[in-house]
Amino acid sequence: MKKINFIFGYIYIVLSLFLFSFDLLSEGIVKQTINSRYDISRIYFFDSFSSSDLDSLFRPYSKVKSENELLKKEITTLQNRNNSNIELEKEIKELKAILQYQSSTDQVILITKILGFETFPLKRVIVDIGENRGVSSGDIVLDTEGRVSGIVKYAFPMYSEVSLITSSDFTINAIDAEGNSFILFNKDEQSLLSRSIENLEQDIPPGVLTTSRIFNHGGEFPIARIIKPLLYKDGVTGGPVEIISDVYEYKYFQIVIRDLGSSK
Amino acid sequence: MIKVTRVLLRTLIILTTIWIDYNVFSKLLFFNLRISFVLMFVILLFNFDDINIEDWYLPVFVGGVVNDLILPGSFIGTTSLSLLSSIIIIGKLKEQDYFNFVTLVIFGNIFFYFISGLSILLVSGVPLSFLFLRTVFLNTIRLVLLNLVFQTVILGIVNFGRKNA
Repeated sequence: MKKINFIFGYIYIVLSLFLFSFDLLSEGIVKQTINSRYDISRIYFFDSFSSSDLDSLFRPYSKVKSENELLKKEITTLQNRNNSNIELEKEIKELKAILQYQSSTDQVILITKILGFETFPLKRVIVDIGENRGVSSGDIVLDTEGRVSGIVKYAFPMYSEVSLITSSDFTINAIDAEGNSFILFNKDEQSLLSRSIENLEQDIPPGVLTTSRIFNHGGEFPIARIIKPLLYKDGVTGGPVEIISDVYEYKYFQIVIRDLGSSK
Repeated sequence: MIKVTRVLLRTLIILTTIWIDYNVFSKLLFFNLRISFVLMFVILLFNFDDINIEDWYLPVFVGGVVNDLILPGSFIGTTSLSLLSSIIIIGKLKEQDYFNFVTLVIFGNIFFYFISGLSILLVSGVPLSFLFLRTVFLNTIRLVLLNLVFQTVILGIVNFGRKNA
């Protein structure tokens, strides 16, 4: 084979390289322009059955594949949009519930957005308001329906750290319907352990334990439900009680601002 | 005039080959082997001594450009570059008389798919790390093996009635 045979080949290789780099540097505009003016693929593909059901049988594999990719992308986009719509709907419901709750109470309650949950070692939540808005450590944190979800552990100028009711280090003072005071400790995810502060010398029937103004909680908010009667034994009345709030279901919390002036 | 007609005829043959690839082979085979048909065609050209390879550079170039225009993922010139490079490589190796025909086919295939894979990687903006190069190598090996089986069968059918050299 003669040497000259390859010279034309090299020329075309250089030409291909030139076309390739030209198209690459122009980010495919050349190809897009040509394809928009003369749709080569449409002429090229055997597409005489486009109006009938037989089309799918005679469509080339690559075309079906690219169409499939496009449809997949479209489905993913729609799914994402649907998911965000569901989330927004949930947020609106929560905010509505908060507004309804706040209109029925006379306490100073602030709405706060949950920025993130922490589950280990202790169950904490970071919320988006802090000292600058009047939050201080020890403030009661409520869910959208006004049930106790936690206590502000640390209040920083721009955000606060909330210790959740399900956290193992959670402790709070509470009172029952008759005004007997209790101290509650976390037992597990669903329940707290209650223990009377005074010697009651009696059992406590099923009911609800709430926060109290006595302990400067800022109001009376439900904490836990007494399912089984709390039994009196050795000078102490106590037993497990069930947590009412489902803390992980929400995007917003409410913080009860205490009136510190009156407590001094 | 006759020269122009011949060039047009050859281009038509290449374009028909791509058409068959798109409309028949891509549906028959699970893997996208449309390029294999063009490459097989080039190998066939080499198998027939009375065909002059330089006449086929322009048709292959045009065919490559058309192929790139149809394929959504490649830039114009990618297929032409890879195909012409593999033709030159096969031609040069054939000239040396070091290798037998099957080895040449394997070399041509490896070169074609490696160049294509690299150009696709470059175009898609993926960093050319060893991890991605490994993927290119693996896919090249897979495609070369599949094409070799395919090409051997076709060559066997075409050369069935021919006399031994």
